[in-house]
Amino acid sequence: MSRYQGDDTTGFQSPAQDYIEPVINLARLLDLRRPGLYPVRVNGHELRARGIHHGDILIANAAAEPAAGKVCVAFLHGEVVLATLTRDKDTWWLAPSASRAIVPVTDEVEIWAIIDKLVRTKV
Amino acid sequence: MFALIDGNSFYCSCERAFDPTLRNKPVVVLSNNDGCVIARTQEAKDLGIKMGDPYHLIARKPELKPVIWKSSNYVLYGDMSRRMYEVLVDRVPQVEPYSIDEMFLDYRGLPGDHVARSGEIRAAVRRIAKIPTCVGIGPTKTLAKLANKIAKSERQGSGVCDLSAAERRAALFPGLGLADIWGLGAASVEKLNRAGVLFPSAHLLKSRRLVGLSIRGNQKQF
Repeated sequence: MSRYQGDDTTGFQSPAQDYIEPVINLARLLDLRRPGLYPVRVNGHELRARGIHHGDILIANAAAEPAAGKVCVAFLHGEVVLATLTRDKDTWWLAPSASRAIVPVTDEVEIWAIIDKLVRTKV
Repeated sequence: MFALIDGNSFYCSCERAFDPTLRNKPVVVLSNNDGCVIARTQEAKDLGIKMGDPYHLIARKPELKPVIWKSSNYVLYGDMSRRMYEVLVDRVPQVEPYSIDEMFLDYRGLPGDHVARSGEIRAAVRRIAKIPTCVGIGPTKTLAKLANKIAKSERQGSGVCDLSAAERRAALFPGLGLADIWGLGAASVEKLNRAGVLFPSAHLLKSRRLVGLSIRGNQKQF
């Protein structure tokens, strides 16, 4: 809540007094109270071509279904990585970055959540 | 019908949710100021670590070298409990949080098969809230809690135990001790055992008089 209420003026009463709203709530805008949403901070430049930059905040949605072409958070050989999902017949594949080989999704690999929003704090 | 859903090694599972290096490893969460053991993964239990073990007495044991010790992080556990609750209220109209990792689900009047529903809820909590759980189903909360305990004890089980059928209860009860029943402590168990009641039975669970006597007896120091 803002300290400014518009009702404590010494000269003229504010015509906006009855119209003061709280500061915009990004958590509400992003619907962060939903149980499957996890904000994650990007570390690295591998997905720059997708428009995902180092330092961005991604909203990972664990309730979303995987789909080809989506970016996901995955547990891959003990690492947490961002990867693009592709599908070949019945198998999902992860493409972590241009410099790494694509990996089939097996029991050892977990698609942890699907990225569905991005917040950039530095332009 | 009621169900009790309970997070497996809840604090450890919260830590594991975000850290793939903790998978299949013995993980222990310690109380405030790293005093004693308050949560253990199955791998840690298998190494003989007990609930309440003082950290400073066991930390340097050679056989516990592979253990990953974690200080408690209640901000995380509170948030994960919230996620678990939100997943449940999206699926069951009446959810009663009993503790940070246990919630009663009121299945009364819900259509369909309770075991199938429990399996789906378990899968949703695992996928969305990242917490592995077990579910117990029973006609009372006490029996749901007992069913949950049985589900937990079955290592390769389905994670769901259904005690809604009287025949199933009659078959399982002789293998259980009274200490498995919610609310019966060591003193009550001893008293009941002395009275010749050695395991739960439909008759015992229905008879408020016998259980009530035992509990009142404790209060009055009989």
